[in-house]
Amino acid sequence: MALDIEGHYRRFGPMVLRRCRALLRSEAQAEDAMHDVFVALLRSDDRLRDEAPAGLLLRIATNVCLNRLRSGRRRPEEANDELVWQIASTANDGEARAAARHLLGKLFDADDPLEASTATLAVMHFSDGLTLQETAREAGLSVSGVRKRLRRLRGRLSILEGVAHDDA
Amino acid sequence: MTTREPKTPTWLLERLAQGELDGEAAAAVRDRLTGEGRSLEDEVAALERADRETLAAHPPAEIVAEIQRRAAIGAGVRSRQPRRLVFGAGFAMAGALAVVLAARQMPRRAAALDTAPEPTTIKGTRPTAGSRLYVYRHHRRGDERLADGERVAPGDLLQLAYATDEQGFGVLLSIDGAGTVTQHWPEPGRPRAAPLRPGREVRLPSAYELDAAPTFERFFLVKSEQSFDVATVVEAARRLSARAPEARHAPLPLPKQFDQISLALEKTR
Repeated sequence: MALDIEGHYRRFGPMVLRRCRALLRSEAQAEDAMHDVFVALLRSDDRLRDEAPAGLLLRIATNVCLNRLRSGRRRPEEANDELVWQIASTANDGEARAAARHLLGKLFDADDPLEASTATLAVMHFSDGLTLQETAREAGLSVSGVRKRLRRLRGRLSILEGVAHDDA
Repeated sequence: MTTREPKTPTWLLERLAQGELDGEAAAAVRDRLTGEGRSLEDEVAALERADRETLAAHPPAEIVAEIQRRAAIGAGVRSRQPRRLVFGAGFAMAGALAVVLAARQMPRRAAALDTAPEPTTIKGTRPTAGSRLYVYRHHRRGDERLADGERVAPGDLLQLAYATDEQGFGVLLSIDGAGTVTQHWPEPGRPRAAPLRPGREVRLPSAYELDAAPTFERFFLVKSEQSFDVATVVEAARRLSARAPEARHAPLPLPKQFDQISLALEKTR
């Protein structure tokens, strides 16, 4: 059965727009990104798992926004935005692209929007404040898997030096 | 110091409001909110108000139409194909400049004729056969293809695209009136030019918001049959951007094996 995109937008669109606003800090960029989030959902209709849609859409929105931040040139002004920007900038392209080859293919040449890249996991944990357990549950991964991926990313993030994380 | 959000994660609050958290997780969120002096009911009510406001400002019919339009474009179901311009090997710079001049004299008309897009500017050491560079300005009701010489303003959201009939490798970058060089594709940090995808129009992964750099923004698609270092092109762009006023119209100083197309936009404040 085809995805009810209007129904999904009515129910989840405002939530997606809030997520994009929070990450991109630009109304125009956020609106544009919101469209792409639903395009990704529409194109992935045939491979959507039995998954809670709000969680899935939040993850897609994070991926889409990180891709935009990574290819943009504006540096954020606030500390938390700086963290997100650094995460986006230092994301492991090879890892994400390998995942994309195995899964969705490409959305406008971007990484697979359905999967939680290491950068997405990092934003969820370091910026959104989800615990490792919550991050793992939201991404459908094991806690040890999340910890391992974040440890690798952390080495490339100067902003995280000295940040106390007893769980990472 | 920590940069972690001290409050209950909005992510969890959104999911709870959608009824997606199990009882234990929902209770944990409620407890955290209570500990912060907040009420779950108030937070959910605020989200519902925000939802109503967003849906009023962004009506579902409009948004869904735009989503479907984008999905159709990405699937190669464009209703209008861009006019193909094929320049033979003998099409030299004189002819290319004529294209530039024509475009500059009629920028508004070109923008209005969406069904007959203007050709992009052809400049450079070699004429490009069957390659095109497109710049779109995003509006809520759709994208407007911009012609060479079109006026744009800070904050405009631009989408870049290319189309080519040939195999090869490419780099897409821009220079602006402040002398800044911006690499759009491949993604910054990638050392080698990206493989071109011959066939239908290819849009870049993300849009590009114009900043307040003055006077102009000029986009270049540089291609070659052989793979090459992005740094070669970036360095050429830096050299050109430092030479006002040539930066607005001169080709990038590149060796003969490179083809290049450019499109310049005039900045307004």
